[in-house]
Amino acid sequence: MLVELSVDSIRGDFILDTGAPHLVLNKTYFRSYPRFGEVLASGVSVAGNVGNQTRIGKLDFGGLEFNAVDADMVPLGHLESTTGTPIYGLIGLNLLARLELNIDFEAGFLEFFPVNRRGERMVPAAADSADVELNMTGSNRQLFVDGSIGGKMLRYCLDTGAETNLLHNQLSNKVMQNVQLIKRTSITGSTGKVSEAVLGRIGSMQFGNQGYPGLPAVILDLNPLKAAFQEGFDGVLGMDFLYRHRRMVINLSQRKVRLWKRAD
Amino acid sequence: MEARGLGIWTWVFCFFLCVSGLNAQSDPVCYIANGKLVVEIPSPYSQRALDSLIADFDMNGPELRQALATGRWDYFQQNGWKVKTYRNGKVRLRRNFYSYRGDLDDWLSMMFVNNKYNPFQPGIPYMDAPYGVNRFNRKRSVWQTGDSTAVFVLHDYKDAREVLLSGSFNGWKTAEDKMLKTDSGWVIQKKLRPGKHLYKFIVDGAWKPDPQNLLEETDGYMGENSIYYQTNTRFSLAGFTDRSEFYLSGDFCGWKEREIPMTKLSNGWECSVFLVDGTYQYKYTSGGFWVEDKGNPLKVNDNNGGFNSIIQKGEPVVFRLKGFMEAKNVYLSGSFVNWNPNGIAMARVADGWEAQYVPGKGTHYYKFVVDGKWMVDPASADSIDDGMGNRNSYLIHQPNHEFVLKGFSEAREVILSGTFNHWTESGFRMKREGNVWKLALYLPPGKHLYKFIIDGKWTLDPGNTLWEDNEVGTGNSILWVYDY
Repeated sequence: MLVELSVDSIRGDFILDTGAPHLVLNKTYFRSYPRFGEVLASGVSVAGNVGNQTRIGKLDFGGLEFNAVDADMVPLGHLESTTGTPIYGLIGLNLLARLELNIDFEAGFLEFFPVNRRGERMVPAAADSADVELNMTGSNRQLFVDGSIGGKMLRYCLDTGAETNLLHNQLSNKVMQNVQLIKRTSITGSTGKVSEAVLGRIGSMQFGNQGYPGLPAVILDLNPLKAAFQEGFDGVLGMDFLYRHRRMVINLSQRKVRLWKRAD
Repeated sequence: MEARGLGIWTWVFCFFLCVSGLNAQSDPVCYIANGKLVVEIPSPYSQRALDSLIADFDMNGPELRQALATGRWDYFQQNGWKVKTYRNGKVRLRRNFYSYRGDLDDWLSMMFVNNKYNPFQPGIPYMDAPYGVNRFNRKRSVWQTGDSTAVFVLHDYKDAREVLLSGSFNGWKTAEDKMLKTDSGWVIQKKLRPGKHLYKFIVDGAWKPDPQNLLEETDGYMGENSIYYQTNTRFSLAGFTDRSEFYLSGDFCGWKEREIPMTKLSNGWECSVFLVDGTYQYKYTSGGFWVEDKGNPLKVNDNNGGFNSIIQKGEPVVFRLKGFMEAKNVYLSGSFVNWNPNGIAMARVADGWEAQYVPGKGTHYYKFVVDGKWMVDPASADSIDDGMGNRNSYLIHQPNHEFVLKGFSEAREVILSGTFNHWTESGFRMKREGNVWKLALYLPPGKHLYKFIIDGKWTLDPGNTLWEDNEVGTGNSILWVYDY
């Protein structure tokens, strides 16, 4: 999900990434910025990338202005190669802290509404009850929510920056009995090390009283990612899950995520 | 009597069911239990299902079949599988997942990049065939008004406040091309070069593909981009108006008979097509009847007693081979004729041999075939390793980007290498012009990574501020080639 914005005098496309805790800049386009020390980026799509911390002067985000924002500056070349377009950075959760974010997946647009101290929109929204209302669990660094597979409660990271759903391969048999395996593949890294991933289809994933039959997921060892997040979780739900909805509202102040499913 | 007879047959049927049930074949399965990967092969098993298991789960097929036949599972045990054989012949293989034990950024690059170069990048027009034909609903929404102009019309949404056109031709800008509201819908005229273009309308902030355009491709975000071809070639056929349909066919569409429909006119047929630069053979066809283009003098023997018409798009190149006057036959062969040894016959001229050809934009590899003997172009110092130890001459035709390296005037040799030639070390040799090294290439739209190899040393482009890290920590320069 790309959003065009300006950082000081540099304008380019950023990925709206709820899997990233804060603003991330692609080192390629911001090399001239001051570096305040080394950081290990966190976020599903950039976890473990080593970079530097920096600070930008002004960020203009659809008419909203943020001043003196801290950011991680890391290489994002792997995302450019995947998307085929220049990616200037990631908009992480900290920029959304005092906003309610409305994503209309069908129309392909984003809206932001400022919220008061109680997290309520300054301009009230028209009544439209969501199909699924989820409470955020864990820290505000990532968007963690609880749901179940085969009656077993699991914790997922909701990530607008990830394309596919990921599921940890060490989950209990109760969960795995609900996963039909489709394909196995070995993946060799640049250093020649091999990992293994299996593509599966989840029989029934449940959020509240809403079921999601046949959701595709890549099943693999998520321990490297869990270690980088320093959080326990069982899977990542990316755009393969979110595009089953016509609309999503994220309100970090109220720690709520609301989802409206598409008509079948 | 009738009831008893039926009873006997029922018993026979039940007996048959029991016997066949005892020998029923089951399918092998793969699942995860206790955090381990498990493969279960029943006995007897279906061969077709075993083939699927081998293909889908990347098993070693020959070893698995041999182990099932002999009962010897050494290969699998040596590769970490625990094997259990049951009395009923069922076999269960079980092992831990191969889990990653390395740097996280390497893990991420495996997950997200997969080390594969994918020429299709959503949002960037990519031609997977050398031609394009438009297809619209009855209410056409894009009209070509000249070689380089087209009018886009959105017939619906008359109550919308604002409609914009966004596409590959304006860099997918979201505020640049506002459409004008008219009685027939929202309208805008755009300058477009011939070729493939991707676009969407933005109606009051919402992205929408063209509802009247039947050609679409994924936008990479679970949606679709509409496809429009600004055409550059009109084919016409006089007569045959007694026929109900006619099609254009040629090597550009794999000689498919019903791929490119022609429009019936009062005195014949016509169709407009976008053709990528190059040389093509074609014919017109209708219900198994094939006819050459009588209005086109360029033709070749179709090896079937007739002729194929020839069309050439783009700038021609004259290939010359000096000498070899005593040779009987000289042919030009190369990547543009699939290395056919008799690809293009060269004509004898005063000082050697000559052939003219329109190869299309890009880098083309070629050789001369002199009385059956292959040879690189002796007049060209440029040759490149074909990956199998042989060298081919190459021609860079109609380049769209020039690489320039300044400040290395003392260097003996500078090679350009990058994603566009799979990082070949014996890549493209740059030419010295005064104090700078230059090389012009044709590159398709998208992201390209490259480096200069200066006297054997891999070097970032000092004249390019855009570069990104690589796995060995030395960086690669970045070049974005745009389509607009």
